Amino acid sequence: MKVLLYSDAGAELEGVREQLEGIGIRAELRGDFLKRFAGEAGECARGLAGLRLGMPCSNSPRRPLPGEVEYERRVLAGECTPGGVVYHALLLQSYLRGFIPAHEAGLDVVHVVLTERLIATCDAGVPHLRVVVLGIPGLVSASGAVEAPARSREYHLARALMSEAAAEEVSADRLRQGDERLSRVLASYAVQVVFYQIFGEAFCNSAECMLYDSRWQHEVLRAQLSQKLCPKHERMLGRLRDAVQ
Amino acid sequence: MLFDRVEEKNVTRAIVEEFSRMLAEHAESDVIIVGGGPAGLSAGRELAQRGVKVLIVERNNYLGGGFWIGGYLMNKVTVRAPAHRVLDELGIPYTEHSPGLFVTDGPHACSKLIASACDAGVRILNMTKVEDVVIRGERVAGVVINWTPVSALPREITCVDPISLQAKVVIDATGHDAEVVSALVRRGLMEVRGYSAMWVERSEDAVVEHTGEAYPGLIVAGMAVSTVYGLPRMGPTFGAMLLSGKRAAEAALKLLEGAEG
Repeated sequence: MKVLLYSDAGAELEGVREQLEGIGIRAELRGDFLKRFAGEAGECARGLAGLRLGMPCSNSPRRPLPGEVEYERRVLAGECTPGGVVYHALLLQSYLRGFIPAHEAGLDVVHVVLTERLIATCDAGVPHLRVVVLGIPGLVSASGAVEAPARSREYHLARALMSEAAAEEVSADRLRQGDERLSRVLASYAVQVVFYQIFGEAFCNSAECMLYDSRWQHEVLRAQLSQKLCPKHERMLGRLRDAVQ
Repeated sequence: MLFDRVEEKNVTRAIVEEFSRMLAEHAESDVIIVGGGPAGLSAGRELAQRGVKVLIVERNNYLGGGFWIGGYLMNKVTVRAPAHRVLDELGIPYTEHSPGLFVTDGPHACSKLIASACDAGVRILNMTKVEDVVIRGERVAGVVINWTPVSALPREITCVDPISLQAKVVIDATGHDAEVVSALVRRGLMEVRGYSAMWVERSEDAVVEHTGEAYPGLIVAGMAVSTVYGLPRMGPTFGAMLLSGKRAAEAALKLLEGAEG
């Protein structure tokens, strides 16, 4: 088995690789996925621009506006970082999958794409932000780790009844942009991608296991930040360590 | 007597002659900016400072849009770093409320921005509404305008034909209404996404980074950008408006260079 780790600008590639190594999963750094595999940046910009989610959202790609294509071109060129735009997670995954070369398309090669882009799935016209999308390639969104898991009920109550500042005070312990704990958390999600592809195990029911499907920020800080596995998945990881080339 | 003697007819002549001269001069401009809020004023100031002939068309009597008032009718406005540097440029005093968040007095900030744009050479056509666009060779080449009150009266008593103004570049800085863009949408020449829910943390960067030419000859700035691209709303913070205006000016200068080249 081989784990290949990609990242677009800003995502914490090296930190995640180190964290994975700490867990016992050796990963090869690959840099930016699209820069590596895609040909014409212009074509990529058009492709990505068509994968944005609108409100209400839909599950089909849409015809991009010229300004959206230009924005993607600038993101790909490193002239700005993606922010405030949400992409259809499954369509993006499918789009990226199309670039994987045949010799690396086997189930024994795990492609994990770390991204700064916000990704979401669309259910009945409503987008749901995601941190991770399992499959080939697996997508792990750094900005999603900050934004997707729900903040506490106290946060939303304070925001509704008082102010943003008051809400920030009551939800002090959550992930934020640039949080030094992010690489540890993202590594746990990368492990989820690996487990899903190798064992077909999507998530774990144990809230203490890093494979737990956390819905709340406090759950992320317990399960993903701890980087612990339940006994069953710990045994599976042992088999995995032996299999990694 | 404190004041010189001036006959009423001369007051009238002064108004008519000066207005007519200004309107005739700006029947063709380098850039027409539709919307005199913070984004439009910021763009106009930047362009006029570089010798560009700029006309701002504003549908209200007053300029400044929402920049007079922060949020919930409270007249303190906020900007996030690095937009406080624009306040420095304009000589507007402010305080740092919390790291990276600056607060200033709305009336002071807004009046300084208006004065600075006018001082730079921007000309203003207020109480004027854009009804349509002028299209030449698949490019926006101007706007069709009428007095704002005309649109507020019943059609039966306001058979007032509009007039057209031409420009090499038009900037839509009309906020969420995106009035110039809407004229293109009505003609089936353009589509827009409509703005999303408020999300201060993520929206400002997105608005600035999407500022630019949205249709040949038409640049979008400020919250019109949000409407065109379906970006999140921003709430009562104005840094992106000021920086989007600057970005729109850069884009306009490029188009003008291209037009001359």
